[in-house]
Amino acid sequence: MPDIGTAVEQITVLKWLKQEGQPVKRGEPLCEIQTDKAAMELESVAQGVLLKQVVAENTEVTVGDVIAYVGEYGESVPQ
Amino acid sequence: MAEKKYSNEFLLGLYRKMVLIRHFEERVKFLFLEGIMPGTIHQCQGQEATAVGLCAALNDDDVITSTHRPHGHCIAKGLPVNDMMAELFGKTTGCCKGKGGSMHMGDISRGIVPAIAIVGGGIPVATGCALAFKMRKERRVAVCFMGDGATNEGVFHESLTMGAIWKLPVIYAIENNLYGASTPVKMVNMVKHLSEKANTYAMPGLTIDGNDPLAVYEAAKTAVGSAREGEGPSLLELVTYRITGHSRRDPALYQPAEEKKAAKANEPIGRFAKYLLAEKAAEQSELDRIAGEVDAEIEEAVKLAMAAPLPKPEDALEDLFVEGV
Repeated sequence: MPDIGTAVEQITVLKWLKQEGQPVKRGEPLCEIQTDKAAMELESVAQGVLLKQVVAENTEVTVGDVIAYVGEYGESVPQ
Repeated sequence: MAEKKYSNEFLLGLYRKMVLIRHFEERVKFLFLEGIMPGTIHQCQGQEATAVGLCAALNDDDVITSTHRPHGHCIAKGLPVNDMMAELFGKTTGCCKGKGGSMHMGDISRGIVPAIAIVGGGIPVATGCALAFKMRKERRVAVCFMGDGATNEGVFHESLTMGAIWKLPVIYAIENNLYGASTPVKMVNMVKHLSEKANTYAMPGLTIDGNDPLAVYEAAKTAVGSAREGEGPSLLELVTYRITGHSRRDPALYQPAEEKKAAKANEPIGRFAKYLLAEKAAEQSELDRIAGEVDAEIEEAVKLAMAAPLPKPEDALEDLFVEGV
């Protein structure tokens, strides 16, 4: 979860906009998130395939937490 | 688009600068998202044509003042991206030795008064620069970039009054991106066009398509010409649109989806590319080559900036006073 500059540490992943196995471009919306101020789309900083959604929808995370892995097809991700 | 003929070199020069601004802003956005660059930032994606069109009508020794959203103005006036990127990283090689950051970007040796982030703060400064030029009998002009919100600040009225009565060589350039932060322009202005505010000061006031760099350039050329000839200031309203948030933390939910969609179709770089192709000023391959060169230039700037040294604590005591004035 990137520091999106809202000065808040706790951010909720509301909804995934990309499913596992789907290609993701850098800058494309990856998921909807909610801070204490607003709901917004989170842009992907990585380009490739969404290999794993690490957190379920409606889960609160802290800035810096791993929420997803984006890589190449067939690449393995940490369990 | 204007019907006049321009050299391909001139047209591609405008295009290159607009692409440089866009790609610089996008690169910086990802530096933030990746957690490499801290803080917040005000970006100008979608507003590239206002700065580039206007600065194309200026001489090197003319000056501009800028705002909290200064990156486009600085690139358009000739500040190298190496100096800007290093400044964003707070490094000693930055244009303000790492002490200014995004909102004080500038370089007086290139005619860029370090940006003033206070809304409307640049208006009296640009007016004062123009007064200095006039008193010293220098044939230079000052351009004041401001947002639409700045036109409702008290200092707008005071400065434009002085600029007008003293016939100062200054151009007041409003970048109207339809929102003062999140407030729609129409909610806080009774006039239909912000250029109508020029009537109060009996100076020329024009509303221009701010997403057409050639329309901006032509209007600026006329305004700069009359300012240089001692005929006084002009007010230019450059209508544009910010296709990003007000700041990095702003998801811009107040911009209606339909309006955003229309704005993306009307954004200046795509429009200008179509014009260049239609006018046969360039092939697509040439536009692609420019984009590639620009990206390489930006990557080099990031590399240099990351490797450059941070200021030392005692550097805070330097550059406090100007000597020999």
